[in-house]
This record gives sequence, structure tokens and C-alpha cells, in this order.
Amino acid sequence: MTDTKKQLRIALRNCGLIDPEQIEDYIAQDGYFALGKCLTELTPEIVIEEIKSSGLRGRGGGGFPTGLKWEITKNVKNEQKYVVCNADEGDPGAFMDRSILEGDPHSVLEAMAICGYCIGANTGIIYIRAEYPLAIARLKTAIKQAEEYGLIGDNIFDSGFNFKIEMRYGAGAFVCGEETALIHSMEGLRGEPTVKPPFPSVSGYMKKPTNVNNVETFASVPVIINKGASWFNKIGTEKSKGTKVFALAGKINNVGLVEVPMGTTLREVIYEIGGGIMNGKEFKSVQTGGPSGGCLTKDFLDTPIDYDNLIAAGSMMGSGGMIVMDEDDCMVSIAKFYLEFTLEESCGKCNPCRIGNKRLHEILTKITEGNGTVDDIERLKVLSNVIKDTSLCGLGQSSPNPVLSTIANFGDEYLAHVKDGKCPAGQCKSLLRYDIVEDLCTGCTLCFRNCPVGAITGERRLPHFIDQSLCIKCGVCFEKCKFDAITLT
Amino acid sequence: MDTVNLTIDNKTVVVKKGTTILEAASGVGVHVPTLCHMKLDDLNIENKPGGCRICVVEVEGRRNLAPACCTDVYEGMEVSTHSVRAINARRTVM
Repeated sequence: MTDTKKQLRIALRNCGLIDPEQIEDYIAQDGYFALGKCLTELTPEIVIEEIKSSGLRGRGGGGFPTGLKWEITKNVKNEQKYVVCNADEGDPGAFMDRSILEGDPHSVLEAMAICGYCIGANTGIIYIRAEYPLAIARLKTAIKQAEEYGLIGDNIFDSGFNFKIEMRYGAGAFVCGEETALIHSMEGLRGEPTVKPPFPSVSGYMKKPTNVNNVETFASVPVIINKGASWFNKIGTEKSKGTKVFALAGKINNVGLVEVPMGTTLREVIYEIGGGIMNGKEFKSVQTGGPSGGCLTKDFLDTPIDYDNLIAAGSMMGSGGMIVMDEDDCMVSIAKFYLEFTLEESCGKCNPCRIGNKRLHEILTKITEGNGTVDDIERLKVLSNVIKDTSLCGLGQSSPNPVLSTIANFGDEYLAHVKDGKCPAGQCKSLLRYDIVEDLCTGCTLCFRNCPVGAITGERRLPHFIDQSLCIKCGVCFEKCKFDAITLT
Repeated sequence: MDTVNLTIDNKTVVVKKGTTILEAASGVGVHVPTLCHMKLDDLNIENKPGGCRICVVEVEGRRNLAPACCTDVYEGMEVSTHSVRAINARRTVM
């Protein structure tokens, strides 16, 4: 990273600095001090009040106030409650949760114990995808070490508080990141969401009150207890406090994880921390919030990043994926790519998501193949809005976002596809056309010899021709021609 | 038994707590179409996965549409079962 000054590491504070397999390293970084403070000095009410006043919001994407969630779960009367850590990170290109679990597993365990103390739970469960073997191994080591030190288990710090942590492995379904689907998956049922309410806070795992938080949310908790809510809520914007980890990816010079205070602008993240666009190309769009976020144009570059601003801009915070696109990317194809992902990951329970997304994908395919009409764009909008309105869970309610935001921000590109039959970025192969300029062609036969499908004909030393009905738009002739006699339109 | 006051299509309704919008609506003669909802009174079986989304209705103050068959009513709820938004959604879903 060229510029680390703009960054502020809270959730990632220990990642890369400590040995994640040595609990002593974590303790040396004030680890488990927050838990000790909570158990010996503070009542659950005070801790919850502290988290509430810190303004910490769920980092999994929804942005629900964490303190409020804890309070709701605490206020439900039940002997058995659960704390669940959602480590089912499924966004393509996102790996912030994995980094935290691999680099600093104890911070999550500590925060889960604090949460358990607050809400009155004696069991914590980490739901982690089985594709993260290193994170699982390190978590297991961490749990074992913490148990040996008496930081997890019975009668922690002689306070009479018992807390044990178990693990459950997910098979990597994207929809299992949704709370209710996650709980069903933990119970051994199908990973399908159910209607909320009842919220997991009231009836969750095994029908008991369950508090589900994301890894990154938990990782921020010990710091808040140690340094105080007033320290934490000075960072960030009015409604979004603290920092957020983003996974920068796409056509950007520095890819990887960055943690910045809320309110940092997209420009700062992309140009200053990210080092700008690869190969000096023009910035076109940034996609935030994973496959169900939206694509923002350069008009939004100076928007301060927080939950509400991103939603107002037509995108969302999501889990923090940030994919940068340059002038060579076709927005219609991008929307289609994201839809392919949601299509694969839709659980199929409710109709709008299962069938609606399929239809959206078909229309987009039609457009990229050059068979779209202006009506199709209108149809995309109507269908997208209905899917958002009627879907059962967050997956369907946000899956048309890439389509809607690309239509809103790059409508002219859609029009170019359907009206002029052109793809401005040159990505949609069906819409390309290679032609030979007669005046420039010397008849060298190089293109003729290289064409894989024999679409080029012509005599030596005479201009050649491309048979459009045979051409597969592979672009070989364009690359091989030494006289720039082939045009791409 | 606790009761809840709400309005369905501007009609005031008083029902028991825990009633769904669908049940409350049928009580005042408002028909909400359903598909995946199944209720066999004789066998005391009710299945409401909430998956087909045919019975969606518009609830004042709610971001998205609500499935009538499995959404419980609450005090002061304002439901419109045949708003343009709800009907369009139902048609498209169908």
C-alpha cells in the first residue's frame, strides 16, 4: 500500500502484527482486557449502553445498530440463548472476515464472550464456511488456548459467567449469510430464509433467542470497551461510526484490504489508497456492496462513504467489496455477470427471486447479443422493481440493484446496445463488426492465413473481404494486420 | 385476549393478536388471492411457506410489499390490498 495514512485499523488492528496462534501475543495487545473489564467491573446494561452510544452498526451489510440488537436479545426472557458469529463470507472477491479470523481470531472470541455476558447466553457458535480451512484451524487453536487460560469456559474471571464456543461449517451457499437461512443451516435444515418476524433475537437457533453478528462487527467490540464509546463515535460520520474494511479489487493498482474511517470519499480510497486505475486508464465505475450492490459513476467519487450515503446513491455498503471498473468494461455485461452470480445462489424458495432474476438475465443476454429493443430496458426496470418489492429475503430484495443502477447511471450505454447495435466498450462480441478497408489492404494474406474459421477471402495482392456470416469476432485479424487495414466498429 | 386495531382498504378491523393480514382481510370480506398458502381446517393443517408472493399487499410505512398469508397484524397497521403497486407486483409475479 502506497498510502497508509488515510487508513485507520480498528477491526484489522492486530492482523499481520501478532502471531494468531499464540494467545500471549493477543493478550500483550490488551487482549481479553475488555472481557475482564466487562465481567468484573461492568453490568450487562452498562456494556450494552456503551456499545449503543458508540454507534457501532452491523458490518455484514445491513447496518443494524449492534447495541440495539444486543438489547433486544437480552430483553427476551429465556433460559437458553445463543451468540452466533456469521463468518459465511460469500461475496466474490471479498475476504475481510477471513483475514480477521486468520490474523486475529481471539478478538472475535473475546467479543462473542462479551456479547454472551450482555445478553445472557452461555454458548457461542461460529458459522464458518468450510472453504476457509486455515481460518478454521486457527479458530480451533484459539478456542483451545483460550480454554486453557480460562478465558472461555466455566466461571471466567471468577465471575460465575460460563461461556463455551462451538463451530459449525457451512457449505458455501451465499444465501446462508442471511440470518434466518444461516440458522436453518446450523440446525441441519435447508439453507433457506424464512419470513421475519420472528427475528432471530426472539426465535433463532433451536427456537431460542439468538444474537447474530458479523465477524467484523465482533472484532470492533473489544476496542470500544477498552477505549470507550466516546473515542469510537468521534470517528466516522453522523450516522455511521467507526471504520469499515473494504476489499479493493478490479482494475486498480493496489488491490487488497483497506480499513478507512466512515466518511472517507470513494476518490480517496480509489486514487490515494488504491493508487488509481491500472495502466492509466479512465475510471468508469465502482461497484460497492458485492453482487447485490450498485455501480456508481465518477459523479459519486466525492461522496463520503457511509451506510446512508451509499443507499441514497443507489448502491449499498454490503459486506465491503469494492470493484473498480475502467473504460473497457461494458456495463450491460457487468450487470449480467452479477446477475449470473445471484441466479446461481438464489435458493429458489420464492418466485420473484427464482424466476424473476432468470428473466432479467434472459433480457440482458438478449441485449448483449444485439437483439434487444428499447422496450426491453423498460421491462428490466419494471421487473427489477417488482423483484425488489416482493422477494422474501435480502438476496432477492437487492439482486436487481446492479441492473437498476447501471440503467440509471449508464442508460446511454444500454441505448447504444439496443438502438445502434453497438457496444461502446467493445465487450459484447455479437455487436462487434470487423471490416477490411480496401484502400489500406495490401493483400498480404496474413489475416486470411490466421482466420480460424475461414471467413476471410481474397486473392494475393488484392484487397481481402470478411464474410460477416462466418466471422466469430475473435479479433485475430485485427491484431495480426500490419497495415491497420481492419476496422472494428 | 389482546386485540389489535388496523385498517384494511380503509375499513377498520379489530382482530385477535397473532392474526395474519390474510385472515383479517377475509373477516371483512376483502379477498386476497393466494397460491402456496394451504389451510385444511378439518385436518387442522396450515402450510404457509410465504414463497409464491402472490398474496403481497402494501403496508403503509414498510419498504417492500408484505405477504398477507404470513405477516402478522400490528396495532395501527394500514393495509391496502389492491393498490396499483400490489396489483402490478402480483401480475408480474404470476
